[in-house]
Amino acid sequence: MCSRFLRLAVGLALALSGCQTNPPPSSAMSQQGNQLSSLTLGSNPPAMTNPYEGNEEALGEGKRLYNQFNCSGCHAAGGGAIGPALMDETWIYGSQPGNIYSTIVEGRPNGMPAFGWRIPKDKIWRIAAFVSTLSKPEAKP
Amino acid sequence: MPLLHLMIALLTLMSCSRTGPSVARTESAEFRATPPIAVQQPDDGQWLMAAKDYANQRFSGLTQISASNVKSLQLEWSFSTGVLRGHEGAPLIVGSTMYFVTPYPNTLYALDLANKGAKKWEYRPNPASSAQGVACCDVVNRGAAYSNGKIIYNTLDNHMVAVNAETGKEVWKTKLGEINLGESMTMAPIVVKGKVLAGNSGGEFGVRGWITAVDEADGKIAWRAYNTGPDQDVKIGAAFHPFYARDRGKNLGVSTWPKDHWKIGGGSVWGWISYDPQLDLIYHGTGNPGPWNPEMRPGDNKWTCGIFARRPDTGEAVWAYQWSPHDLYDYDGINENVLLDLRINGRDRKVLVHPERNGYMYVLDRATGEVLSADPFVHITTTTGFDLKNGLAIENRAKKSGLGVSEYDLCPSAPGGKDWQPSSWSPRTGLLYVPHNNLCMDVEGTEANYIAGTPYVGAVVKMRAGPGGNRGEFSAWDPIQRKKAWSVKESFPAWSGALATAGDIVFYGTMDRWFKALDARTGELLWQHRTGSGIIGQPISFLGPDKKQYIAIVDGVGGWAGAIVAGGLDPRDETSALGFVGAMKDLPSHTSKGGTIYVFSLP
Repeated sequence: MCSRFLRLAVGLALALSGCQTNPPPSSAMSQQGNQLSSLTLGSNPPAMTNPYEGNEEALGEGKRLYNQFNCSGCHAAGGGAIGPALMDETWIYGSQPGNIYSTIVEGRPNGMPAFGWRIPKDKIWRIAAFVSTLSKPEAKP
Repeated sequence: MPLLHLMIALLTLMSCSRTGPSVARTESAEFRATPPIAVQQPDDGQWLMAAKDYANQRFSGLTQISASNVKSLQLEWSFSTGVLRGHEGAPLIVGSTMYFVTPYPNTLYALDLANKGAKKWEYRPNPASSAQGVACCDVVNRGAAYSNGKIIYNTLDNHMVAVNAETGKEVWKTKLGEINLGESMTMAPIVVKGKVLAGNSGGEFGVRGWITAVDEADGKIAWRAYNTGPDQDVKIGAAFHPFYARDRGKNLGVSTWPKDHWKIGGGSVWGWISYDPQLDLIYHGTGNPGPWNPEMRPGDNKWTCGIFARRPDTGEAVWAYQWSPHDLYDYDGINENVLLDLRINGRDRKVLVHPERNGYMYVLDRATGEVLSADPFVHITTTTGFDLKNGLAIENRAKKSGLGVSEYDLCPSAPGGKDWQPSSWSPRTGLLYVPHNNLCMDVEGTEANYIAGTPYVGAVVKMRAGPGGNRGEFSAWDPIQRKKAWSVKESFPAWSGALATAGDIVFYGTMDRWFKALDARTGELLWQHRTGSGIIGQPISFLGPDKKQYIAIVDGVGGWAGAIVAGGLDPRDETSALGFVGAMKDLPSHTSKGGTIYVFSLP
């Protein structure tokens, strides 16, 4: 009984700690660096970070998911096709991690589908982390 | 011959950009090319459908502007469409009004020809902006059709609309497809016996291809025929008599696919429809199978990359033929089928001529579907020749790509020896004027994952110029001699339509902003005009209310070939725009975007 309780507690603790490494719920994003406008009423809002930023394993997984969910069908290897280029310096809907995440979740009016209900949130963060790495404006010829 | 003419002729012969002998042929007993009944005679100076006539000849019978005076052609008026994407459309001329449909958002403009293009009205169908996300190759629109007081066209988000040509008020609007299944509409409809015919685009999105007839009077769907699936859906029944044995059998649209794949197998209808009133048959091509990666769909994939002859009243199929069974290279079969009556080997034949994406110029008996001839008009490596006995090009097995397998130097590339850009026929010269490509590609097959409403391709493509380095060519093709009479090389793909006139000149535009007039018999450049943006539109000619002849073209670079400019794509990624960017990296240094209608006349 006791040991079973312990196992449950450990399980819960693990589950909770798992939750903590997950991204914050989307409701928090509107107050946290997810603005689409750079006009932010006199002060800079705190920036939101991508939990997988710089995580090589997650970036590799993000790249795999980028192809699997057909992001590559519209954005190619970052040069764009049906959708805009991702490797240039232009971010129509914002370059912040929260912007990229929201763009994938919600879709955008000119043809970007809303993937939020098809892809688990943590996978979207991995895709967003990979997409962030595509932008290489400094290397532009 | 005056000295000047002699010098021009010599220069013509010496020009390095032209190949083949010049021809100056007159009609003879042996050569007789008579326009089918579908061609209006004589020309009334209007332009009532994108292809001008049911035979898809795009020939203007007007003669005021000719090879001898075209050098004086000058701009009469222009009109900005206000749209920055690729303009592939043809204007219509009805009475004293010009009509033009823009790319998305598909605004219809009516312009007064009696008043230098003064704006009469505009009609906005307000298509769903999300439709832009399911348009594989720019958000183009290829034109409208006029019938009984209505301008009728398709919107990118799959609506067919009929607009009162006088008032600009919507008469009816019918939803024909679903963007959430990857469908869009880009083609120009035609009206046959009270029915408006059009089909869907979306071969890169796993759609199931169809052609639909809509009742012109009330906008109700009269019939729909699919190009994959069971015979009943394809409208294959007792009247179906394909010429070749491989096309006979039950439900081939199911059995030539892996289980259920026909439901997402493509075979869309986004090109041209022609009509022969005597045979009472419409002809339409079918698009590529999906995904591009051929390993995922073993079988002939019927009836993709082919052509159907159907009854316009019912959609019933009378014959069908596949240009490319089990397509390996995205060779959509949707190019124009130009209806001609030709004397071939001493016999009068009712034929259709089809410059196919696979690089062969086909001549088919349009009553039976028999291939009478098929000859290369571009450099070809994907097939090794043509077997007239079974009516098929001979596959080059060494060039078959697959999952993780790369193949190199595939010619022609995915947009083919020629893509959608429509050719024009002159009954006076007996030549078909064909704007086309000279492109090759490398392809690697990848796993394609079907998610409705997203691309379903499974191939990484890089294109480049074909032999010679020119990416385009404008060729005059002789269907009797089965060879080019002359051709002109172009730096960029010749992605505009062609117009031949009874003044023995041909017009086309280039992606680097030249609108050109050539001598129809020699290919000599007689006149050119620099436009604001690259040209991928369709030139037309008409008689104004003042009884003067005019020439019109719409510029505005884009389309698949011009996606690098219209979509602002990044040239560092050669696989952008399904690999077209690899071949078009320098286009942004020649043109920017934006659509304008130009109307020219003699002073």
